Amino acid sequence: MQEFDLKDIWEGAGDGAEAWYKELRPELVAMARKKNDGVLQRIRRLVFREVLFSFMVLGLAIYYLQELEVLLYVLIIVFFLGVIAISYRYYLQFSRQINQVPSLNIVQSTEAYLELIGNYKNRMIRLSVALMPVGLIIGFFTGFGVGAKNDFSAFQKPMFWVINIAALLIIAGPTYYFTKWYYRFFLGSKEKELEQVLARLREEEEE
Amino acid sequence: MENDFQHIIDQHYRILYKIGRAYAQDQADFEDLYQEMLIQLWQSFPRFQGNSKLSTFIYRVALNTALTHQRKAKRRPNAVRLEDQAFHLADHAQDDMEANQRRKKQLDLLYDSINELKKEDRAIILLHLEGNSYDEMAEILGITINNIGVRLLRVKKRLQKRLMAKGYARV
Repeated sequence: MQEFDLKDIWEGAGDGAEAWYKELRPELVAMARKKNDGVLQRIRRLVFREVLFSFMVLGLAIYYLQELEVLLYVLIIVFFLGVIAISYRYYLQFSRQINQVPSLNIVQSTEAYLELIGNYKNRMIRLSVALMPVGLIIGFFTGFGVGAKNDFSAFQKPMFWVINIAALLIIAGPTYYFTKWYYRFFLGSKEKELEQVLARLREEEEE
Repeated sequence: MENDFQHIIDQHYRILYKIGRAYAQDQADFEDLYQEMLIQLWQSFPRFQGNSKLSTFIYRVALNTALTHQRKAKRRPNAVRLEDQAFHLADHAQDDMEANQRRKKQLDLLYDSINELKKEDRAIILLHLEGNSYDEMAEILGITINNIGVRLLRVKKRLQKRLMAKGYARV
């Protein structure tokens, strides 16, 4: 058995640090300016891309769907404007919140991190179970309107609705499960691990 | 901003290195984590308002980054043991090879043992070894001073157990 003094050994921990730092110091600032690949920053970028994508779709819809029935045309534009407004508001709010997170103390930061991730998860599920079917319905009406040259008489037949609602449900189901799978793929077990860290810190606090 | 940042990191780079070693699993993971801490600090510095010590701020940002850091799975097959690379660099700076090797071995063992602890326990022992007071530790972690004392005692016991299992007698 050897004698082992923690503090004494720890004094030497700086030797490796110095050698390591000397190697990277010339490119320190360039390194610090690289893209932040943290989970929250990745989510922020995803939400930003959503906003850009919605703008793009809106532009295309405005340009290509001018021949549609006016009511349907307006409905599509309003739908995308709504999506953009919601996404952009969420993006601003999310950006503001995540900037604060790293400099909070460990307990507050972990709470905030989990809350933000939880909100994002709920948002994605809401998107997949609510907004997605609505989008599909609007897309369907648009496609139908364009295909049938604004002849909507088929809408009066019950069979038409049975078939199409069933088709929408069939599409919405896998979309929901895909969202859940994507969420697990994106975050892995990190959320669970941090929940455990927070629970242990709080547990000690309550004792 | 660039000069200020460089100057601040010049004074605190040891903190990042030690946290990196305590939380990373291998050399590639260490490099990723070190860079992630630098990026996070770069982005967070404009929000430092001087309400706390600069080192407290750096500990918070670096530990939060380490806790939420996700290891990149792609790089695992090429993983190099962290101490191999880190001490290879240190070799150039030391003349007394034998004493240096012994110290390296002990330090490796300590880092290995810290690395086996739970993530929040690693933060506590790191902050303690770095000489932070209970007040400072409470401010960084967000738990009460009384709790710091209780937790630190437990973490030391856990660490001692691990070190003893590896052949060391006294902590």
